[in-house]
Amino acid sequence: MLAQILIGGIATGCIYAIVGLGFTLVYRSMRMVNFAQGQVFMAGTFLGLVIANRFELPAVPLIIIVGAVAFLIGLIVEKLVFRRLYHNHEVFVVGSIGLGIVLTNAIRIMFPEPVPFPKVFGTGIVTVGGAFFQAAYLWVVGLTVILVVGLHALFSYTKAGRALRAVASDIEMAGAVGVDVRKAIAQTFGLSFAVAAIAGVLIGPLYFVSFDMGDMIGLKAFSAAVFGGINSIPGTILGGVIIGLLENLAGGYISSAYKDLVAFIILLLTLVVRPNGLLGRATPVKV
Amino acid sequence: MLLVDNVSLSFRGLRALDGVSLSIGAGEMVGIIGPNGSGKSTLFNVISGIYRADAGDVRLEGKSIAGQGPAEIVGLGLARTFQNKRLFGNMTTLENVMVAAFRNQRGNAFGDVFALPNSRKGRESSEGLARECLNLVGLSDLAESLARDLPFGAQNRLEIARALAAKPKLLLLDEPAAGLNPSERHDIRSLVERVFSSGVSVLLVEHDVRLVTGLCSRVIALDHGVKIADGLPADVIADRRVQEAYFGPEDGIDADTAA
Amino acid sequence: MKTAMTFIGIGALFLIPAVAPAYLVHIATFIAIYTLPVIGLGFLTGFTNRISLAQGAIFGVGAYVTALLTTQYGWSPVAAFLPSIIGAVLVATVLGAPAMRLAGLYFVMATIAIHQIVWIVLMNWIDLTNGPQGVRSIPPLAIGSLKLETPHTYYYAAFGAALVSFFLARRIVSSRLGLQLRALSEDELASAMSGVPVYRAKVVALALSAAWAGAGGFLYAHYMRFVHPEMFTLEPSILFLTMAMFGGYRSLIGMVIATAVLESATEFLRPFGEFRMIVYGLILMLGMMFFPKGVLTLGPVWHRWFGRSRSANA
Repeated sequence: MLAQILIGGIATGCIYAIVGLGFTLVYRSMRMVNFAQGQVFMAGTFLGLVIANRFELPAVPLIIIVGAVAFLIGLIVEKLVFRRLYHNHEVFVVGSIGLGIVLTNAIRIMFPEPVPFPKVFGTGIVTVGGAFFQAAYLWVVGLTVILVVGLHALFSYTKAGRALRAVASDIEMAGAVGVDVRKAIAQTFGLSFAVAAIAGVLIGPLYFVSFDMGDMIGLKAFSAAVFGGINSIPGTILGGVIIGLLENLAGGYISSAYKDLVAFIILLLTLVVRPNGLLGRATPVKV
Repeated sequence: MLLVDNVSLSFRGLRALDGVSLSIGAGEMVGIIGPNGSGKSTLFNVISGIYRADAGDVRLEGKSIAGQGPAEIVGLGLARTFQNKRLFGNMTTLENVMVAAFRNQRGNAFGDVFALPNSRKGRESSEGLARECLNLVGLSDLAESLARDLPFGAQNRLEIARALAAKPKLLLLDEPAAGLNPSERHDIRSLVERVFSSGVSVLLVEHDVRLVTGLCSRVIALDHGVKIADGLPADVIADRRVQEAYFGPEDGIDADTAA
Repeated sequence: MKTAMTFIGIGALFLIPAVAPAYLVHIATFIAIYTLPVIGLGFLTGFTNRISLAQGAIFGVGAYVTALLTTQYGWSPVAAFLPSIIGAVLVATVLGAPAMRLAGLYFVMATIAIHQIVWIVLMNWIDLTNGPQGVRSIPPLAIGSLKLETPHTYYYAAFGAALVSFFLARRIVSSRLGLQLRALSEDELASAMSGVPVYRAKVVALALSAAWAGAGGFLYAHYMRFVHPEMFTLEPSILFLTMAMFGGYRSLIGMVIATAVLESATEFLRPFGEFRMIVYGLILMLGMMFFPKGVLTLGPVWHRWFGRSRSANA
């Protein structure tokens, strides 16, 4: 029983972590929060659903294609929408919330009822020491690890990735040394969309998918990012996994009704006690 | 009145203030000079509670105020102006000063909103105080203008009026003549004299060495966060270290060309 | 001249139930009710430069307090008014006061946390709130023996409340507290240096915004006659915030107008079904993209007419 709760928690936590990465990537570069991130995640799931139903792809190619398509969409949306919202926080917040609403309801029109996602991770059950769980969970954790390693490699060893890191660290300096800042920002958004969409494909096979699944998960992923440190990638991952675990533990041993509270109490406490989160660095807050 | 005792403050490894001590007595007007970056504004920020010193103490009328916040320190009788003028731009000149005047007003918020007699009297007296301060600095006819529409010199004077409305015993003036032309400088100079003669002790930071020597009975010089001179204006100006601080280590510069 | 126009304007609004069809009176009632939480947001944001996405939840607290007191404990609605406000203020202050030390984006994040916490509790504390079922059969507001049960009659209560709250808000803005809060929002450091008790003032602004939200929630509960948690999701929070933003936080009139416009817009979009929400989202998006300073900056003439607003969203 405990093992099941733990594995489930880690898997859910991985989802929070990856979606949370989307928040973190954008925040590091722009110091803004894209409140449509949860809906992008949800849209990614449906994107994966449509592609998987059409082409019957196995897991890995599906993920790569969904990621690539989402990346491109992210580039486009940045250029058309986000670019006009950089004025200040409020504008960006409300504008991105508007985008989220559009996404949710566009999907809602196409898919008013929850639908099942193709079992691209197979239907195997794994037994570990008396506990049963879907093999899909292992896929989630494994693919998360691969994704994180991949991102690390991207940021450390590729020219494009280093450019993104430079912009995240200091926009003016990056521009001064010749980085195409506009392109880097667009790519950051593209990456955040790709990452969220991939998370969508990861969670798809585990449950039914519906147009409103992005709301709660988006908010909890957001908590994960803040808890772990919204300008720290390893922090966000850690934050997500911890919240997933704590949530499941609370749900199993305390009360399943209030398990949603865990993420938000952690969020509030983090902001009040230690706004930089577990691993975040202090960014000078312009008061 | 004010005692700064061996105050030090570092920012990320940069020593902004290094063991600075000074004192100013009641009824004194003391000037602080020093090149850019010498720590004058930092010193003000420490005294007025905006920064907390790493070491040392600040005592106002014998009581330590180190570590207290600006609002408390204002309540103890110390007020300051800001070098880069922090006015309440979208409020009128009168309103700017009234905010500071409210400090002394009795009554509570409930009475204010429902215009109870106690509050109305309090408001009248605050407004009276505010208008008095505006009068003192010569801004009475601009009382209803928005602060951000004021000309430069008037803004400087509004800063001072606002600080005065807090009824301070000690006034810290941070470059009140910054950016002003000679005739405006002259006005500020007489204004500071008027303020001083109304019984307020003054600690004056200024770039304009002539203004400082003309007004102050005593001058302190800072350089790179260290106090390098403290005494009569003429002596301090002539002090070799002060001259080196301003003009670099050259020989043969006499007091006349420095002022 | 301005006073005359104001009286005529108020008089005209007063006559709406006499001349308009029930559907419009219904919308007008909602507009009147919503001005309260929106003005409340104006206090918070206009005075402390902090955006809150928790107003919908606080609004809900006000609604639930009166719902529970009147249905489970037999209180008369009028008696439940003050407790609604107090409940809203308490919840907001306990959860929000620590957050007032945060600035900018961090504060928004905290309000999201607060909203979700309140909402989850409303949804799951079944013993207290009846959970997802909500609370039904809330008694109507009554003046003496006259029960305000129809849009036509309730409109007067809502409109009256909106008027009172508007003028009360105006008084506060020009009072000592209001000046201190405005100074605070202009330059926190200088206001501290002028003797404004910064943290305390911020908490007061928070309490005021919650009081207005709670009062609005009270009116809402007795109009709808039932409440359930789904009414108080982030959606109304976003709605209130948008109304406040489009109106420009420092202009009371601006916010009222924005409330009227946006609420009418969302109501008239109802026939479009699901597309309604898409259009709503598009309005938010496009509004922010092309009118980041608030819609009222489009009309300088309106500004001068309605005074007090100087530059609404500078």
